[in-house]
Amino acid sequence: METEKLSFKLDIFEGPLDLLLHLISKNKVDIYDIPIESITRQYFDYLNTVKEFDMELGSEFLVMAAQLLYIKSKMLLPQEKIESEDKVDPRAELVAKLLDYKAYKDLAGFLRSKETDGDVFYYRNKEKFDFSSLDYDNQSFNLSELTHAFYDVISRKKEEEKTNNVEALKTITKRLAYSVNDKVYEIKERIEANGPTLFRHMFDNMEEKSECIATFLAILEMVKSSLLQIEYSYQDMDFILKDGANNE
Amino acid sequence: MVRIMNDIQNIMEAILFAAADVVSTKELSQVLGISDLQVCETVGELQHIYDDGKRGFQILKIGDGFQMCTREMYYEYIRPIIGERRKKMLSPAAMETLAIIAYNQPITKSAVEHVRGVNSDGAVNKLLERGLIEDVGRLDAPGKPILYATTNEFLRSFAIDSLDAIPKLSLEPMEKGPVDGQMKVDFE
Repeated sequence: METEKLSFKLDIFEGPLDLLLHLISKNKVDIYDIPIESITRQYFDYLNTVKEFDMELGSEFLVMAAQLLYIKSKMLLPQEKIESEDKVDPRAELVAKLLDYKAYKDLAGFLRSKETDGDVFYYRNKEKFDFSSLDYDNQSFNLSELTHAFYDVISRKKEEEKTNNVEALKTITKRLAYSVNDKVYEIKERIEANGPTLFRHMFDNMEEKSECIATFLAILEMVKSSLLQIEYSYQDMDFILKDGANNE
Repeated sequence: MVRIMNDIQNIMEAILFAAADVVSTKELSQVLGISDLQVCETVGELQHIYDDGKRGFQILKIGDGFQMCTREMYYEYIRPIIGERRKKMLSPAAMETLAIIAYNQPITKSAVEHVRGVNSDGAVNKLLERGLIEDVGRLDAPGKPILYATTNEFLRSFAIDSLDAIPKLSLEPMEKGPVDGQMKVDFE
């Protein structure tokens, strides 16, 4: 009895039918002639074990428990007069369900054996074509817009060309790293020396993007730790940075 | 005649390459103006040519159509390029549910639950998520329940060329006579 219980503890069943099939095969009994008395007892043993372990149990298990008890009681009752051929084994419906379920369980096993068979084939992904028509309505162009855009591009190109050669060498020879920490000190010194400063002036003479980013992060950091105060000035159309400690 | 036959082969090759999906026999026969049987024959010829040359690609039958894919023997060389497939194995519940749907499609969730004897919401959702089954309509019954069927992706990932290739249900003969509420299974 003890060992029986132990083996139960290790098994998780997909449902009451799964559990019953397990019991039937374990007891090596004929599925068409289930010893309902002992199977029911073992079924309840399992439910109790599960309860001991405080595991979640689906209500389906209880429905089946009730069904088993019903069949058991029906079989215990003496049959009244056997009228004709319509005497049906109370277990028949359950047996049919079990057979059904068992057949599908076997098929699931077949599918399981093929689960990775498709892995050796690679299929191309279907290309996504967009067949919806493009909207060409409401298009209006102005020649001067186009010339403007063109001169814009040309002038930018020239500037780039001028600086490109120098820049290219710069990036090879030096790669300055700007630390937020250094910037905090820089900003502090600057504001102490010059008083309130406009936000945009904080970025004067900065050539590299990374330096701007470090400065910006430093400002955020300082505001967070109230080393800096920020105010918006409508007159200057910009933020003004002030020493946070001054304004107590 | 030979030239025309070659043309049809080449066109079919082009279609299957471009589609990158299952192309049904019907679509092919309509476009090419030949019979379904001729479509199958032509595909057979192409398959033969590819197989003989051990070409990198091949044509597989998937459901009621065909699709191009790579030859399995080159799998280990493709894998490092494309990357390892990360596939989670299906849970026993999902696999049981898939088996039931595969054999009885189209089928409602409650019919699946009737066979399994347990709630199957999670399993059905997982299969939908994996694209192994799909919603194919609604049953004309109270509540208009959704009907599910397996997809081409199911055939591809289990390397099954059609639903007919799945072995028949191994139901033991019922000595005591069938009982009401039995599922409809094709015993043949």
